[in-house]
Amino acid sequence: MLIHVSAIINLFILKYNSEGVDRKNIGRKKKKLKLHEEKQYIPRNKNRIMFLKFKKNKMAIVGLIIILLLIFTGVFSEFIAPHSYREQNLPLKNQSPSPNFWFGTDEFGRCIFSRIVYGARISLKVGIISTGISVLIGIIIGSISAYYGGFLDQILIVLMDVMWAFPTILLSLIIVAIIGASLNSVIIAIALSYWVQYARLIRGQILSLKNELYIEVTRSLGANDSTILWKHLLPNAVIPVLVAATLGMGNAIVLEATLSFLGMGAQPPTPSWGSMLSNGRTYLFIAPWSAIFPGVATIITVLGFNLLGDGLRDIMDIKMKE
Amino acid sequence: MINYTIHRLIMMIPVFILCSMIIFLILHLVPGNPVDNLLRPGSPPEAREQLIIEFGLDRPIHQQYIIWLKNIFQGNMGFSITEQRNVSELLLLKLPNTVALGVVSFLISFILGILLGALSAIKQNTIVDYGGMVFALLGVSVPTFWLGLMLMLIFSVNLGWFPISGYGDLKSLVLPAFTLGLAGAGLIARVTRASMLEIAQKDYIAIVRAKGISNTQVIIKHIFRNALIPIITLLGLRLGWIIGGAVTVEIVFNRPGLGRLLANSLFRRDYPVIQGALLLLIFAVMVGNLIADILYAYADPRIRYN
Repeated sequence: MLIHVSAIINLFILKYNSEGVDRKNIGRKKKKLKLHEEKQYIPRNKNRIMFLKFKKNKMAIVGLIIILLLIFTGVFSEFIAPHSYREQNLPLKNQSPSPNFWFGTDEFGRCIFSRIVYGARISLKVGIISTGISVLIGIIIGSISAYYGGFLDQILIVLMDVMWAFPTILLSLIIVAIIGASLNSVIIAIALSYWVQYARLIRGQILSLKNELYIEVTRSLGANDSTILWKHLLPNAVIPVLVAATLGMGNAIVLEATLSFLGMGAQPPTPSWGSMLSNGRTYLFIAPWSAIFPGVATIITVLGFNLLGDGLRDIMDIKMKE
Repeated sequence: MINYTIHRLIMMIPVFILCSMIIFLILHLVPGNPVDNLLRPGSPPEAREQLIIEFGLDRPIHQQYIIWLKNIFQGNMGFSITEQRNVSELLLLKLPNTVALGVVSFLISFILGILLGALSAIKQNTIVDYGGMVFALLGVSVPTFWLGLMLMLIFSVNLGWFPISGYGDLKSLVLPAFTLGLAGAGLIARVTRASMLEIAQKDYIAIVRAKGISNTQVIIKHIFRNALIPIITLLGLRLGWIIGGAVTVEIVFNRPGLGRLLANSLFRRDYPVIQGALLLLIFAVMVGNLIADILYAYADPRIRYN
């Protein structure tokens, strides 16, 4: 008893003290006093708060800048790339990086820098389209499963469990093997491999929102199922999915590179980063730059999406598994 | 606890049967007949017919499935179309290589990830934390096969410490296992750090501290142990990830394993081998998920599923 009482007293002391002990808080408080921030205007608008939080999150801003640069590179490839991505120049094959060829040349004498610049377009295309499709499938199946429940829900849960058991690389490899290796089949394969995670996410969100009071009020006001689902539930459930999709785009780009590396993706002379790496592997000993730079480009891109996704998750204060 | 385990075991059966159906169906929708790869150009059509009958490819698809399933339960996974061998024999031959790679990289990723995550959490907002988290972020962002290529370039080509490819001895396992392990460690480190920081804020940790227990004990006994729960869920998920990653790593390092066998068979349209290998891998993933769920229920007494 005595121990407990003293523990609770100590707890309060600790809590009280901890505000003083925390180095970070001290710094903030001093600043606040200096700037008279106690009377600072606190915006009521939710979007404005989000924007202010976003401005403070350096990682998210770095991520956003990387993605914007990537989009710029992808859109204006023709103007940025010094050479053509398909023009072969055999006398100049496997040259090391030089002022003329910044990242060297590959086994056909093509400029690796230019190919990476054009490759940004392909990575972006694959990332955006495949993630868009899988988010769409996920939202439709997840929300139907959660909202209607019952037998339909059971069937969809089993379907999601089955899909969940397949490792994504294997699943997309099989799908590409069925429909044939090309960039479009890679997009379809990635979309069909990744929708389950979005479906599970949106299902959980809607399940927890479904019993909220405002939904009951809406229903008693006479709204029908589709109005409730599309107008009242989804807009509130969709933000975690959008954050997951930002992270998912990074994954999709890696998966595209992996499939192309395995020879199951974009076919030559398409300058996909993955297929460039696949060729680079063959010439790893004599021309290591052809394996290094496309990989670095992939990493920076994926890093951009991961940084932005992480930042958005922190800003929106969303708890997500994995 | 036992009830829960039995319930989960029973639930596994329909999912596994559905998986087997999907594997079987999908592969029979693939255009092109696998028999065509076997025939020499210009061989008579009768030879083709005969081969199709020999492999049972002329029967209706549901009959083929039932025969296939029956045979699997009897331990017979069919006969490889391109390599003149029993599928089960072929799988058993490649299995040890993949298991070795999987187990070692699994250990590397969890030991490294948990250590790094815990260290980052304890030294929050210091240079150690930032370093750890940059590593973790890279681990999540770097494509596995590229990491493999770079490790190969540095340690095999330039330094000559490890063989470039091959299998058999321990030395050849180091680079592939580290490739998979390092790539996997990033996510585990992030989850460990986040989970430890979350637990550290809980009121009961403040109570424990108020009792006067030393900092090391609080961290190890109270924070770390409770923070392990989300990491356990990762155990099962990561198993599937490692199996998927094994495909690329085995190809990069030319290791004869299940992943490379599967990829090669996909190219050659060798149905029996693809089906057998997929079934084995998916079974492994499902068992991994099951173990993780049971461990999860065991570690967190609040969780009792009905």
